[in-house]
Amino acid sequence: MRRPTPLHRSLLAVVAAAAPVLAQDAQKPWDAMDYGPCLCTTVEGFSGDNVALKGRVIFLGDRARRDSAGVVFDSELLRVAAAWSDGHLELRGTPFDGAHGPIPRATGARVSETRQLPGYAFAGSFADPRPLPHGPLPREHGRFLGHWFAGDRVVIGYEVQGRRVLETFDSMRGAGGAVVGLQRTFEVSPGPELRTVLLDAPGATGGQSLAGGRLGVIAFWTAPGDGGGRFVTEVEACGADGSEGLGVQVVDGRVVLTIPARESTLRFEVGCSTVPSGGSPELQFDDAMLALEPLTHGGPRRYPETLRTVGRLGSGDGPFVVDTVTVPSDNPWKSRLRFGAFDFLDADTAALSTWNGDVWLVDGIDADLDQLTWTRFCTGLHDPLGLKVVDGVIYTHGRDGIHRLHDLNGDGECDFVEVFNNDVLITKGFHEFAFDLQTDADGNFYFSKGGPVNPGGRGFQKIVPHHGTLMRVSKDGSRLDVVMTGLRAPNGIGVGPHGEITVGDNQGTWTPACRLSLATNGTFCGCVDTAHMEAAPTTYDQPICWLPMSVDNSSGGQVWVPEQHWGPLAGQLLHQSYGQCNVYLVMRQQDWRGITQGGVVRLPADFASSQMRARFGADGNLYTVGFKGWQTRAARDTAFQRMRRTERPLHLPVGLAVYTEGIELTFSDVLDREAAEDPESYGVQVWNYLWCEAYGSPEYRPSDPSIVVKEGEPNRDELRVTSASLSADGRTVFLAVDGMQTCMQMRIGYDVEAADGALVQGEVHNTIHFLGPRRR
Amino acid sequence: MTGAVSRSRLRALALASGAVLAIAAVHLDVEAGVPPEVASGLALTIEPLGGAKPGSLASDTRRARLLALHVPRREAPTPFTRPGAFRATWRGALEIPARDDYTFAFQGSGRFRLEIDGAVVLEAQGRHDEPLAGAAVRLRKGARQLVAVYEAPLSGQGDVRVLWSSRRFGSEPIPPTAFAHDPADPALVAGELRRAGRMLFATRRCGSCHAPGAAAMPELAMRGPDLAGAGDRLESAWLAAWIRAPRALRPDARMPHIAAVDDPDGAVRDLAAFVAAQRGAAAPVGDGAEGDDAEGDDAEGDDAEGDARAGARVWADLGCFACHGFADDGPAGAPPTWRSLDLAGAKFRPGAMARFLREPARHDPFIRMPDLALSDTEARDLEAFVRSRSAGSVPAVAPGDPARGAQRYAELGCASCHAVPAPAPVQRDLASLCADPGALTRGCLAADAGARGSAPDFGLTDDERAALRAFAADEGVASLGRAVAIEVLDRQLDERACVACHQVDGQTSWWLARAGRLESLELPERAARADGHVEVAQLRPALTQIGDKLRRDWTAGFVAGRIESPRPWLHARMPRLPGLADVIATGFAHAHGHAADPEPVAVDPARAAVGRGLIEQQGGFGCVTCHAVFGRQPAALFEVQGIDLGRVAERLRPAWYRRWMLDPERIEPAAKMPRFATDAGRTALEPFDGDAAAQFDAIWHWLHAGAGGR
Repeated sequence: MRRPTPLHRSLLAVVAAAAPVLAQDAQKPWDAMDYGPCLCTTVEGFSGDNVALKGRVIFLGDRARRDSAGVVFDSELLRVAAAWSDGHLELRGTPFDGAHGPIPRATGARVSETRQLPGYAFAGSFADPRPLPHGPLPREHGRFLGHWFAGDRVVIGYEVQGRRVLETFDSMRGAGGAVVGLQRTFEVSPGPELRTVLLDAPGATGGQSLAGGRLGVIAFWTAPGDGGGRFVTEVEACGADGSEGLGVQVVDGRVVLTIPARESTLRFEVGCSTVPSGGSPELQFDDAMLALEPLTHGGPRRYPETLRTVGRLGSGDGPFVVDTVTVPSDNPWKSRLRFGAFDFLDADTAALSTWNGDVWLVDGIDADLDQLTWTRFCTGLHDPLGLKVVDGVIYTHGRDGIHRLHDLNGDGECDFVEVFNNDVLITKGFHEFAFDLQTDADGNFYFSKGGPVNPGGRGFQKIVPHHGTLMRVSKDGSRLDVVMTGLRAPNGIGVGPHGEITVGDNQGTWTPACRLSLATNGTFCGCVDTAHMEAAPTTYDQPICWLPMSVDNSSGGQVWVPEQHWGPLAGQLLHQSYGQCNVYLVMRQQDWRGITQGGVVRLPADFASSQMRARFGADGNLYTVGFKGWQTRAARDTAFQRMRRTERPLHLPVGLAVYTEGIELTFSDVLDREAAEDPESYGVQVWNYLWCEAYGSPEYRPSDPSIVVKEGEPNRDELRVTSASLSADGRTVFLAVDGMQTCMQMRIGYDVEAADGALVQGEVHNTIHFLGPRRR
Repeated sequence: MTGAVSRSRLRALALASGAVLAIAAVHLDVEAGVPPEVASGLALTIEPLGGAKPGSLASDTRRARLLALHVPRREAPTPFTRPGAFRATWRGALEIPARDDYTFAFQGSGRFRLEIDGAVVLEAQGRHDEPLAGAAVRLRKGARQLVAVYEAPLSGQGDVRVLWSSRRFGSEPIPPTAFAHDPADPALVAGELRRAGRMLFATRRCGSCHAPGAAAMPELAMRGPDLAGAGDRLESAWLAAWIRAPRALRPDARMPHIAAVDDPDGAVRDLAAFVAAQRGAAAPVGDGAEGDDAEGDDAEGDDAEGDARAGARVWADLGCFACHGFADDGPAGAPPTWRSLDLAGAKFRPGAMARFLREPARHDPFIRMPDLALSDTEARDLEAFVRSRSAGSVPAVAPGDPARGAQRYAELGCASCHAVPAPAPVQRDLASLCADPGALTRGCLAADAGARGSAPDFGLTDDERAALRAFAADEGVASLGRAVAIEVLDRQLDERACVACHQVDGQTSWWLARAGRLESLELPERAARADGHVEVAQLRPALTQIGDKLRRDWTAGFVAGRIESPRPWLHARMPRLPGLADVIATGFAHAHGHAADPEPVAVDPARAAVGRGLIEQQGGFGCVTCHAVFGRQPAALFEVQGIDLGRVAERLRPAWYRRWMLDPERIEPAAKMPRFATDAGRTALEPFDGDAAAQFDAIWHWLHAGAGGR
């Protein structure tokens, strides 16, 4: 092969420089996206055991590329977990590159790093006061308040022992212009003395004051032979009371800053850098020190562009059509629009959150959908798969808890991401998704959280008390309680008109099949690893029904049809399947003890993406969103759609009751008597699942559970329909069935005709917990 | 049941082709659960057009799994009829799963007529490469009488495939589980009887003494084990016990008891001594002569002791328990090939069991024990495990005289079957025996020792003798000169115990049925769980549709061991069957009515480019989430892995691919693959205006563009 000439080389360099960018955009959309100036995520520092679980990554360089410099603030431990220069945040994990296991991590040159311990001392100690190394610090120790956007500048706020601290971050450049350090600007309200760790300096032996800083430069050397690094911390302060009392010391391998007690607000800057032995940082502070409080009243818009799309009205001759609210997939920020939750701000405006942390507003949701306008309202939230509007304010539920999004200056963009409740305990598990957000009539919030499933699907990583639970946060955000346990991947919940709490779950370890459950305090859904009980449970609370893989292999949320809409479906429960992209009607039957059992029938509507969340609009139509993030038959990456009832008849079962003698199915419309009374028009099968720690369960026939699996055919018992009789009103069929029994799963196939000649074909999948005599 | 063949024998025959079942429930307990009244599949009668001629019956009936057939030109449609034009008539019941409107379609060439409950629902004539559908008919649930008559063209090349569809499912070949027939049908009983006799002729190595002339039936090549080096492998005491009475050690042993001789005890001692004196041919495990050890785990040297605990894991992972067990898990409900290993420790000399496991066919090419490509370590561990459980013993035996044994060996004609030096003495040739009805009641076929004289004692039952006589009477000699791939396959599915690991026609594999036997091993998780829970990802593919699913050339290469498994995650290993691979692959194809493999796909680059995009997560179906693609690992594997899409083009037939893509669950109810197409054949993706079939076809084109299309 010929060696390239210099000219060739330069040409090759041009080609090589151009190609990767294009390839990267196309193949790595997670790298191409502009996440905004702050990304809330779980981040690994330079050492693998330093993880900021509820990290705020603030980009200090070119934010679109997330490179050159950045800082991770740990909002639980109130510390700068790590800062880097000459590197970037490597985006790894489920919402980014899809990998199961890895999480985002800092790369590049280490500017500073701290151990996974509180950033502020309490009662003289930096020891972790929490019973588990998860969750926020005790409130008396400190608490995170949220972050503000002031243009591209981010201000974070927290309280420590009664003092309110505002902070912002900047890169510090050395004499040569390169980024070499992190500048932290503090504004601390009056209060007692505080001590905070600036960076870890393992082996540091002490330091000396150097000339040049406005307060003074103090340098610390590591012990000889320890990598040869030199940690430099420079502190500058100014303010009404001057800088007296600010000081830096080495304590137990940490560089600790003392913030003196004050009776008025104290402002100061701190510079931190790590430079090679023998080098000189020559840190350069900005000339003027910023006042931070004025930056917490709202900044200019960062995303002024308004994007227009035209929706598409569905067609068809069925009882429903599906309209599409077209999403602006092609947007200036290459934001990946995978909508995981939404709510309405008013009749024709919705707020939608994306898996990668955006909240978008879409206006113009009217009958025609022909003038839709989209704006980017907020960015950088922590995988928010729950969103609820309360009194005109958007609340999101992400992995880091519930946040309130405030537009402080009314310019249509979020300026303040306020912590509403961040008590939830999390780990870095890739599978502990934060699902859904709903409220009850009293204003309490509900959401669910996945269990930290192992990569590959089986078993779990480290479990903490909120894994696999459904939780409630009080209306004022002050209190978090676990309502139900034993969940595995409960992607979606529902709150009924009478306070009914429902949740779906999908098959996996200790979860033999998808289940739809009603929750009351203490309900245990069966996943032993997330039972959070003293002794391992030996039984579980029954669901309304189990669902086989073909019906639902991965559940979404639930929603109740408003009383005034959809005729015979009014007041009924609907369940979404994320995996099968369907919406099901849930037909319920309750016994005298209050136990609910039921079954589902698919509503005839085809959706473009998965079914995760649903809400009824003011127009009485059902709106749904979903995306493609794990296994689903969804075709599109995301879709925001409207399921609209037409004038045409439903031709569906709308009521199900089972008895010792057989099955009663009530249809929406009058049936043709001849077909309806032919027993051959129906097929009834029953089977069970095995509750065990294996991943999901095969089917077992009740008549002979020793038959483990029927390869190539369903392993079910067929029950004989001996007769079928139609009620006088022509809508209710009673099937006399031999061998009615309690079972985990029943399939009732029907193939009849309506009185209008239409074919009425389909299947009901239900569960039988109780059977009683049919009283006529 | 009529006829002379016992129920249990015919039952075994039926099981051989994966058959006997109650339509509603199949139970694995062979003794308890087999309902004798209904059998799966159909009765197929073949009649050469033009009537009976020498060497050919006028009519021959066998069980057929499917309403499909391919007969190559110049080949016989059955071993008992001559090649040439023929009529095929399938009779039985078609189980209609639900009241629905059904459409039947014919694919192939010739004349075809299908009647359901006496009404003609499809008629066709001529050549139809694409299915020709009849009018839709409404059928009620339940068993419907089916008669299908097909006349092959004069060339004698027969091609017929019958498909059905309904409002509930798309066009597909009618599955074998939808068919049932009366096993007591006299023509079928007669046909099965002559087949049983024919197979007995082969498996009892009758041809060793009674030369059959033309011998196309592959099983005629069967011989007894090569005894060279037997003394290095087998313990003398066990040899004596075996020679004394093989059926006492293994009830269905194929080796005859030795004929009446003077001083039988002495003869046994001397024969055992002679065989034990055959030394010097065995190579120790790991000597390099048997191929390199892929795992390179032979650092411990030849004499390393195996680890019984590790051997238990191999036992579980490779499904040894499907066919083998020990006294403590007993033969109750065991499958036909079940063999106790209680005496395995007494049989093999130390280390010889591992050598045998490494290369079971080394001294017996037709041995039923599969070659699972064990490493040296696995073989040693397995030997250690088997020895730890193998508690049986044989009585000690006084030393015999090898020289006298050699004499006995020659006198008794042992060399007829065992390839130790002496040439096989040919007794009476088969044709002359068959022509002499009296001969068929004497010698080997005699009912008692007196009439048997000096002939070997095969322990034949009355049924088996009847089968051999029927075979002899019904053009048996001529039949041995014909090999019909479909029938070879049917026999070999049993002979090779394929159903031990694979499901066929709804019959659960013995592996699954016996997974509970692993409880006593106290193994964690893998292969099977103590609670009987099954890892779906570890299921071996069912063979029911394999001839319709896989290309013939791929099946042949895979069965021969030339092609790597597309399911590397399976603990189970497919045994190599190089000698039978071709006929097995051909049998599968012909049974499903496929003559040859599909022509290579002329890749349309534009379509392929669309297909490339359709497999991705963004803008596609996300196939790459669970499937590797030309070695690129799946993006986010979760619980169940899909086959590398790079292996699709080499394996699948296009029609099956299309059916799978449109509705995976229709083919495999436990499939984890999501269904992307609606009942109306649409998807939500844009290419080809949402036409699912066109989109899947684009992927098909891309897959055929090969790795270069990446």
